[in-house]
Amino acid sequence: MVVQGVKTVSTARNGIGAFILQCKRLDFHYCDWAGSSRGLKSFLTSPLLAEFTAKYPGIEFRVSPRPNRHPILKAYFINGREKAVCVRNLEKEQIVKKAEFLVANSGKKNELIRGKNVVSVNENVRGIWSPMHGGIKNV
Amino acid sequence: MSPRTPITSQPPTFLLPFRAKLHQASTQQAASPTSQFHNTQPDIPPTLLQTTDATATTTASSSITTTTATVTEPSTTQSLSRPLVISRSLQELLPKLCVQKPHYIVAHVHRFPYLLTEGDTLRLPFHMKGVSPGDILRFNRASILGSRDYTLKAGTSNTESYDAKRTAEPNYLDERLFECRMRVVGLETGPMMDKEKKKRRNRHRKVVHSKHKYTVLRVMQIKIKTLEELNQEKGTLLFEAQEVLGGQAQ
Amino acid sequence: MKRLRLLRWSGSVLSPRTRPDLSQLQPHTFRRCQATAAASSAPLEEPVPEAAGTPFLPEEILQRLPSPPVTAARTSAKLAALHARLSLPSRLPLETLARTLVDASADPSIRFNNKGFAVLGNDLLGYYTSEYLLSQYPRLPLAVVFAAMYAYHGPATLAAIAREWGVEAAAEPGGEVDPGLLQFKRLPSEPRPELPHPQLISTRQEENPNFRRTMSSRTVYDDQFGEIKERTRSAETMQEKGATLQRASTDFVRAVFGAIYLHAGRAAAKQFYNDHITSRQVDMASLFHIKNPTRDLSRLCAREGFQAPVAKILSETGRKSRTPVFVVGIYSGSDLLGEGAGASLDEARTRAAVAAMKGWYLYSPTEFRLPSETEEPGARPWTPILVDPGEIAN
Repeated sequence: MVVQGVKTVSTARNGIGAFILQCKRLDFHYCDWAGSSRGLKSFLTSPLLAEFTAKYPGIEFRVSPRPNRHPILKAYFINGREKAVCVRNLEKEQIVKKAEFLVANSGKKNELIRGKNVVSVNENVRGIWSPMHGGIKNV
Repeated sequence: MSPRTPITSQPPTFLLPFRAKLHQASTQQAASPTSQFHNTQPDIPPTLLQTTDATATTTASSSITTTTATVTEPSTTQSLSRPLVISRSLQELLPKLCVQKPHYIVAHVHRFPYLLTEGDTLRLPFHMKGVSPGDILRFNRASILGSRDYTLKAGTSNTESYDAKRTAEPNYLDERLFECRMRVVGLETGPMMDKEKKKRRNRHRKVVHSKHKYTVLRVMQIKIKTLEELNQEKGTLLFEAQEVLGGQAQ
Repeated sequence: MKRLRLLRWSGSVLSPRTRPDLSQLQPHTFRRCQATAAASSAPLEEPVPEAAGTPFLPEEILQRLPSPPVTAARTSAKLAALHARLSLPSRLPLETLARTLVDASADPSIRFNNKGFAVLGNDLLGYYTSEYLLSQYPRLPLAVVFAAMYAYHGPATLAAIAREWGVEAAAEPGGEVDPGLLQFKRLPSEPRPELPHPQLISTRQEENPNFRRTMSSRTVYDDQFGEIKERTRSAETMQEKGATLQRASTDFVRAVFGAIYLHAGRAAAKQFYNDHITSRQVDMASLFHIKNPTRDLSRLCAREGFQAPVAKILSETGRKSRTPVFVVGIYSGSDLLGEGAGASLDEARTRAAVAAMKGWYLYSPTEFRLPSETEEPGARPWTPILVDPGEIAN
């Protein structure tokens, strides 16, 4: 028994090979009666809806009434979380923007990240500087 | 177990650089490693090594050391129309840089530098318009390409002024030398930030809300082109002649 | 190399499926539109002429079915979304994708579950991963090969992949369930086993002290990950006992690979493999667990004809302090094999020996080709790659 193997699980790097959109389902909820749903209803009856759904075939779209409530878009993500955006009194072009945002989102919590733009899991290419190597000064 | 004679067709197997590049100091030239330790100048980071060598090219901005080759291309935007000049030192060192993996790149977006390796996630500090998730971008501005032992840098142009060095447009490598592909992964937001605006001796206060959007990219590929690949781009390549350079040096 | 004639033996997998007991109930027989032309291989009943009516079956019939009917695949939004999300080739029809989602515990009939696809997909995954590992790291010891195979396409990884693909599991299988959900019969909840699953792949197994499970025996008797093969359970026990979520999603991912191979061909399967498995990250250096690195290193040097390894202090600081640091290098002659830092001389020497052993085992050629690359049309002839004499014996 010279060397033993350690069981691990490889980590996914979405986007390097295949890219999987993190939003898997998008619900449109509207109210038939209330005026705040006017924009969403006009979006749902306009050709914009067909354009939007054709642009994202990897997402399941659902349209359902939600009476006596403001209209919302609700996105379900692969990581199990969901995000809802209220679209009351919005025009259909604004609703498209909100929907595009939800589709492109990763589903993670919104976190404040200061100054750390690059996140790497690789080993350092040039190695780590060591004070023990080279140029040690004797006092 | 009987000791065998080492296979002569292969190089000394322990000294092959593929693992050594990550875990231990490089011993690939089969030199004594302790002498190599003392050869490096520890006080200056190796990327900044700028020693005047015998093979230095003529322009004042560029120099070459054993590990650093320099290309003098002032800007990427004009460089596509002009031929790509590959100096003698680059011809010598580029194959070594290509072979030694992994690579890193210092890519610039809106002049800001980002040190990237393959598989990294880059969260741009702005919302990039006109891209949708799944798109593939190619970064064409980079100031440094490197591996463990080799670095290819764009020369610096303004070295006399401290301010110009910090704020001026950096020099970029020719974009035909490398391919850096990024995948647009998505759009993220920071949390909603509230800032209270209040003036003294005045009861009016205003709360300003802000919620920024950031485009998230992932590095798909960093590829440094080999000399053969550069050769195939017809009409763009100029090899610096040996005798001319020999005349210019010194 | 002689190629298998796929059209012969995959006929039963690709042929149109009809449930014998329900054939009179189906409004129309599904007919595949695909170029693999597998339908001619088996004598089949004539397709029933298109019956007027909807693809939806009445509820009472659906509830009697163990898995969703074939016709339901075309009407499922989840299934179409999954097909598009994975950017599967268009030659892979939705009906086959629906079939890959049906586990053997949900539907025991082999014509309706993913068993056949999963077996093929498992072999494909093993083939691609092993050739990649052996070409890239020709000196990897067998235990680490097993560990790397497990990391790339072991059950835990495949279950994670299914989760990352956004596949949800149905609460209970049945004919009325959306065919875009993973369907399996859940195991009744059991108390967790007290002993944790062994995380190290090593020679000895504790269960039977008389039988020593060596690495070599694993290559012969065990599966791709060096684990004991599960007894092939009969369909009845499968149906009774059910499956775990991990097992069901593992079989689903394997079945997708098998289905792609059968419908879209070898190149598409290879591409899908590269996109979804090769792109994942495994730190090969972390898969090693070396018990006696200094002893192994001296044996390795003796075998390879190097000079005997000698540990030397490269630098040190704070020897008399509470936190000393020693940097020890292991030399063979004048060559530095490995180097490590530690709080004691022994620790530093051990780390240096581990680094040297990993440097030996993780040798990787600069350019390597895979044997499967020669299968493509117009490929260069195969050139031999390095074959290592083997790992160090005890």
